[in-house]
Formats: sequence, C-alpha cells, structure tokens
Amino acid sequence: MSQKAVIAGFGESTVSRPKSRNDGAPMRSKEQYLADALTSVLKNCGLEKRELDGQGICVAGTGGGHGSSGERWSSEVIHDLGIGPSWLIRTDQGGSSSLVQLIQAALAIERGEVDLVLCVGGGSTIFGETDQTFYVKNFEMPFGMMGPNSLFGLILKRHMHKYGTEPGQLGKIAVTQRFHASLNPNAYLRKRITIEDYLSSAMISDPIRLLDCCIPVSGAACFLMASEERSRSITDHPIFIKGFGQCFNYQTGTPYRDEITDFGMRIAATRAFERATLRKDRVSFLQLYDDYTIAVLIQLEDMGFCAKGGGGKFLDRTDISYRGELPINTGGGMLSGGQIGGGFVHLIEAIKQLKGEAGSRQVKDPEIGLVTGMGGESYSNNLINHVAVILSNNEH
Amino acid sequence: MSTDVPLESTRAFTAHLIENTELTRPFWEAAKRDKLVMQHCDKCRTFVWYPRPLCPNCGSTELKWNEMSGEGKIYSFTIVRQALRNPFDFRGRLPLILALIDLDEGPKILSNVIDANIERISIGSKVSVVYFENPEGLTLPVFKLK
Repeated sequence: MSQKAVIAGFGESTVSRPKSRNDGAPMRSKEQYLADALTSVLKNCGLEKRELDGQGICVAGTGGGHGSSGERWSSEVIHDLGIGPSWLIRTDQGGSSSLVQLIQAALAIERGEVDLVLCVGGGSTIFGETDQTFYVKNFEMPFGMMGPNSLFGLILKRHMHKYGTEPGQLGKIAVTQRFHASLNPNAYLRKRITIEDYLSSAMISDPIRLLDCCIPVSGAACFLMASEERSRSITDHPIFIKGFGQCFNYQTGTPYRDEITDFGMRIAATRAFERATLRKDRVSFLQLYDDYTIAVLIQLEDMGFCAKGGGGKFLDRTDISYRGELPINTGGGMLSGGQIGGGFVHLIEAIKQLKGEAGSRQVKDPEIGLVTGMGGESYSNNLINHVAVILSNNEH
Repeated sequence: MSTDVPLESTRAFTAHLIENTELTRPFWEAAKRDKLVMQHCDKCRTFVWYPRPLCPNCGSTELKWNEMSGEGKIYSFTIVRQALRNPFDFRGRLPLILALIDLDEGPKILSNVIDANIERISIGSKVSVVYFENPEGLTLPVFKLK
C-alpha cells in the first residue's frame, strides 16, 4: 500500500421535489444538480475543476429514477461536467452505492493510481424509471407489488409478528429524525412532528405508515477522496477510514431458510468492526440507511447494538437524538432529509459531524462514526446489498 | 377461471407487461391450466423460485418444471391500498392482500390472499392455491384461507 486514503471534503446541491409538489422549486434536471454538487465540493475543498483531470471519478446510480438503467451514465456525467479522469468507476448498488464508491476510491488511491477521486451521485425526479428487474416485472407486479413500500410492509409485518415490535417504537425514529432535520438547513422536511402525528399518518402498505417512509427528492451530493499527503493542502480535518465491510446477496445458499427480518448488515458490520479492531461502544454516532423506519430498527439488532428482536425495547429506553447516548441519523436521514439515490445523505452527515461542521445538531466531540448503506430489492427476501463503513477524525 | 385463449395472445404478453421467454412461459402456461409449477433442481433437491437459467444453490443447469401441491402458510403479508408505478389494472380490486406464501415443499412465492377479511388473516394461516384471471388475461395462482 503506497499511500493512505482519506475523505478530504464534500459537496451537495439543495434538494427539491419539482415534479409532484408545489414547493416553489424550479424544474431542474439531473445535470444541473450534479453541477451544483461539483461546484459545492470545489468550493469546500478550495480546488479548481481542472485539478480533477487525470484523477479518479466515481459516479453512482444510473441517471434515471430508481430501477432505471443507463449503460453510459458515468461517461455522460464526466462529459457534462467537463472532467477528464484517468480512472472511471460507476457504482449501482442502490442505497449502498456511495459507500461502495468510498471503498473503490480508497483502493485506487492506496494503490497509487491517483491522488484524488471525486465520488458523485444524484438525480432528478422529473425523470421516471424506464425498466424493471426480471423478477419484479414478471413475477411480482402481476400480483400487485408496488415497489419498496410493499416489500417493507412484508418485512415490518413479520417483524411485528415475530418480535412484538410496536408502532410507537418506530415512531420514535421518525419523530427524532424530524427533530434533527429541523436543525438541518438542507433537509427537505423540517417541520417537527409528534408521536401522535406519526400514529395518525396514513397507512401506505399496512403496517407501513406514511411517516415510516423516506421521501424521494431531486438533488446531488459528492465527496472528495484524497491521498493523505494530497489532502494536507485541502483540509486540516481529513476523515480516516477505520474499517469497512460489504455483504452482497447474503441469503443465497440457504434455500428456504432465509428470513426476511434478518439483514446482511450483520455480516457487513461484523467485517467493518473486525477490520477497524474497534468495539461498538466506541462509536459516537450512527448514520443508518433509512428508506423506512423498520430498516433502522433491524440494523440496530443485526449489528449487535441490542439483541435480535429487542430493537423496539432498545428504542424505548435509548435517547437517539444528537445529544443522546446513541445519536442516530443526526441530519434527519432520508426520512426527513430526503432520499437522493445512492445513500449519500448518511455519508455526508457523518463527514460534517466528524469535521465539527454540523451546526446546531453537532454531536459533542465525536471521534468515530458508523455509516451504512443498503440497496437492491430481492425476491421474497429484503435487500441484496449491505455495506458498513467506520470513519474517524483521528488517525489512531 | 382459465380459458382457451393462447397465452401469447393475452394482453399481458402482447403489451409486454410480461416477457415471453423460455423462463417465463412455463409458469404462466401452467397457471392457464390451473396448475402451479416451479423449477426443481434434481441435483441438490431444491425447488427454485423465481425461474432461473441455473440453480442458484448448486449451479446445475438441469432444472425441471414440477407441479406443486399448492398448499402452504402465510409467511408475511401487506395491504396494497393504491396502485403505484405498476402497469397492471387493479381497478376494483383494491385493497388487496399481497402475501409471501411459504409452500409446503419449501420455497416462498409472492402472491395474493383472496376472499379474506383483512382484519382476520394472520401470519401462519394455512392457505391453498386457487386461480384468478386478471384483466390482462393472465391467470394468477393466488391463495385462499383453508
């Protein structure tokens, strides 16, 4: 390994829902959001765009909505942005794409191929999806599968049946994250809610309520990876990667015994903590992938922050706010902040917290942060891709 | 119930809502004849669902279509209240129960539980297959409480 890779900086566009809501936001395309994110990261890092030429670029997603495909998306992005990299990667692992980018970028830097890798992703809801996966199209949609709302309805129903998980326990996640979003100027939904608001929100796919669901938004985000040496001219506060773990399609090889309420995050997080040689109680905060509230609860169980099935009771007794004993999704997550494809929301919030740039929602003196990403709906199980990354503002 | 209309001319296929391939046809053709079939791998003795070109467990390409008993239990379910980005016609059929059924032979299938009171069904309830022809002319193996 010739050099160490760090996160040097980040960038983000504003987020909006130009298609379906009259929020005053103009109709903007994915190219415009990506350009905003690029402009933002260049400012954050004090770089000129030309300095990215000959370096690395990672592009997340496919350019369209969820489920679409674009064979040439990464080439389109660098062409639009006018960057000429020597190392080009695309990641399409859904909500874990940004963390896969981080790992791929770190490997390219550590091998000495490049000194900088810009990792970028985003999209606009003014473009719908175009194609569906084989099994969704042919064997799910005829029966009324309505995307992830249905999938997470199945997951939550079974979790409630198996472990007695109650709506109010999930509501605590929604309410706390909205509180965090109220302190985050770039979050999409910032009006505080109560547990009564949660409980009275409409049933979407029983037992999933409206306030269990994240809100898809248009927007883009990025982060800049650099060799430690190169980062010194960019920032005084580089973020170090202590460990990572990836687990894809974990339920394969166990025919009939797969359980929809068990996530591959158990394996990904175990790998990450082993690599980091850290204990879980060293973690200052968690940024957990939150397409639905139940995803947060199950991850807490599967990563060992509480017993399997004990997530609901753990939430009853634990303060998960930014000033609590285990801060979770301190920027509002995707439930309130808005879902940009690729899981960038969680990683960007972790970077802000570790750099001490989280404003009025700043966790006190954080040192270690855990970030997770999940994506890719399976047939008859939960999600296919699970990635966990442990970050620190301290090299040692 | 099923009719004599050939599968290829049903609207679900002509409108390309369903792909017409060697992988998709056997299931839908059997359903037209009121049969539930799934692939079986004779090598590792597991049923395979959804259809695959090779056994996802052992890699064998010798998968054979087998008729299933159609008996099982509800593994989990959710209530679909409105159509969302789904090209099929669900008018007059909502709310519907979307369920994962644990078949007695082992595999799970995503399907519907029909003619059931939403308030009364529960995980673990025993169900049997029945057949329902949807507006697109596709016969769906769905399930009824026993």
